[in-house]
Order: sequence, then C-alpha cells, then structure tokens
Amino acid sequence: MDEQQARDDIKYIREMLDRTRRSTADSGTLFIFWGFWIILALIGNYALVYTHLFRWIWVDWTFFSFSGWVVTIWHSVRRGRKERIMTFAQEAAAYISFACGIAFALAAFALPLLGAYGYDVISIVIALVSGVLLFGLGGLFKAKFMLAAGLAWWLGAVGLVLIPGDWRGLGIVPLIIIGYLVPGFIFRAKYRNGK
Amino acid sequence: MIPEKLAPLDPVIHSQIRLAVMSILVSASVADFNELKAATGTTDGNLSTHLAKLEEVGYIRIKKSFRGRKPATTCSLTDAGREALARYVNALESYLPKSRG
Repeated sequence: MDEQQARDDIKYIREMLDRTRRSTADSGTLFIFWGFWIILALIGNYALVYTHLFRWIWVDWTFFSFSGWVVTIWHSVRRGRKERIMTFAQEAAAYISFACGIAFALAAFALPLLGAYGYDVISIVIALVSGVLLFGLGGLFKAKFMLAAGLAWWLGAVGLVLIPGDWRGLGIVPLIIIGYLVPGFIFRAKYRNGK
Repeated sequence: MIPEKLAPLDPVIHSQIRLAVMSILVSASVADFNELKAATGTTDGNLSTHLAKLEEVGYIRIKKSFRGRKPATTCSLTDAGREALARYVNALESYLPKSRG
C-alpha cells in the first residue's frame, strides 16, 4: 500500500457512502399526497359550511383522515418492500413521521373531543406539529428547504392566531403549499434526478 | 511523503468488494443482496463468498428471509464491523502525508 492507493481507497469509501445517500432520497410522494388531500378536505369543509350542513363536517374530516392514513400505510409498506437499502436517517425519519402522525390524530380529533381546546384551535396545533415534522426531517436529510418549511409552519402557527377562528382553515392553505407541496415536489425532482 | 510509522491494514477489509460492502453498510442499517451486487458490480457467487468471509469474522450479520415468495438476503454491520472499518480508515490515513496546519 502506498500513498496513492490509500487515497484511492478513501475515495472509493466516499463513493460508496454517496451512493447510499443518493439511493435513499425521499420521493416526496406522501408530502404531495397529504398536501392535496388536506386541501380537498378543506374544500369539503367550506362547501359544507356554505351549504349550512355543519353536522356533516366531522364526516368530511373523518373520511379524509382515515383514508389518508390507509394510503400512507399502504404506500409505506409497499415502499419498504421495494427498498433495497435502509439508512439510519430513513429509520429515524420513519419514527418522526409516525410520531407526528399520532400527534396529528390527537390534535385534530382526540383532544378537541375531550374538551382540551375548541375546533378553531386545531389548525394552529396542526401547524405546530407540521413545523416539528418538517424541521426534524430537514435536519435528518440535511435539506435546507425543509428546515425553511418547518420555520414557515411555526411562523404560520403564530399568524393563524391573528386570523378569526372560522377562517383559520383557509389560512392554512398557503402553509400547506409552502410547507408540504413545495418540499414534496423538490424531493420528487431530486429523487428522480438521483435515480 | 509517507510517514515513517504505517499502521497495518485489516486484511479482511483490504479487498475492493469487501471494502465497498463495509462502506455501504456503515451508513445503512440494512442493505439487500441485490443493492450490494449492483454497487460492487460483481457476480452472485463472488459476492456471496465475500459476504461469508465478512460474516465469519463477525463484521456483518446476514439474514435470509422471504419477500412474498422471493427469497431475500439482507446484510447489516455489527459493532465489531463498525469498529474495524473505523480502524481501517485510520490506518489508511497513516499512509497519507500529514496536512500542514
């Protein structure tokens, strides 16, 4: 072994590490899916409000949340089967995503039903948890655009407080675009380029 | 310039295919046989031999299972393997001239 061979070996190790990093980039599919799914749920919500069918609002949210979970679990299991490599960052990301998923369910359903806060506060709590999700994943994947999206969610949570309760649902739409759809499409583009 | 004291290189890792396998597994909790085969550009038989050698010295763990009806072999690095690779990289660095600081 001489100096040049040692350099070649170190370069080779780096290449293998890079390969692992590229092959495990997130596809962004679930961000895009949830972004559009929540917007559809909000459209349903406001359609019901507009037509004075207030008592059906819970059906709208239950349908979109439950079906969203089913799609998420199906997609995750399918991807897990196809995945040829699993990094520690991906494992941690799965735990963070699952933890935030539980927090979303508690914040949107269980806690308001138990009387912890009113329904007009849900979007603020959702924005807070979304900030944790995006910022946490941004740190794991070393993605500045996700860190920025996390900060946007937290700023948005504060901004939502200033919006009257009935309109907070609409106030969350730009946050979904900035905080879910944009990161989702950026991930998707990177994933396709990396393949 | 090469320093006077050169650290010995672990002969088990000092092979391009085994080094590639160890390098991939150090950042992946699990990698499957096909991924390792694609990364190393080797044949099934050759890769199996190298993996068996790494398993024999306790550097990697091999798990055989089924994905649906298809057999699947996955590999992961053990703590001993992680330490061995760290030692190997340190040893490699002893072959490089110290940067002037």
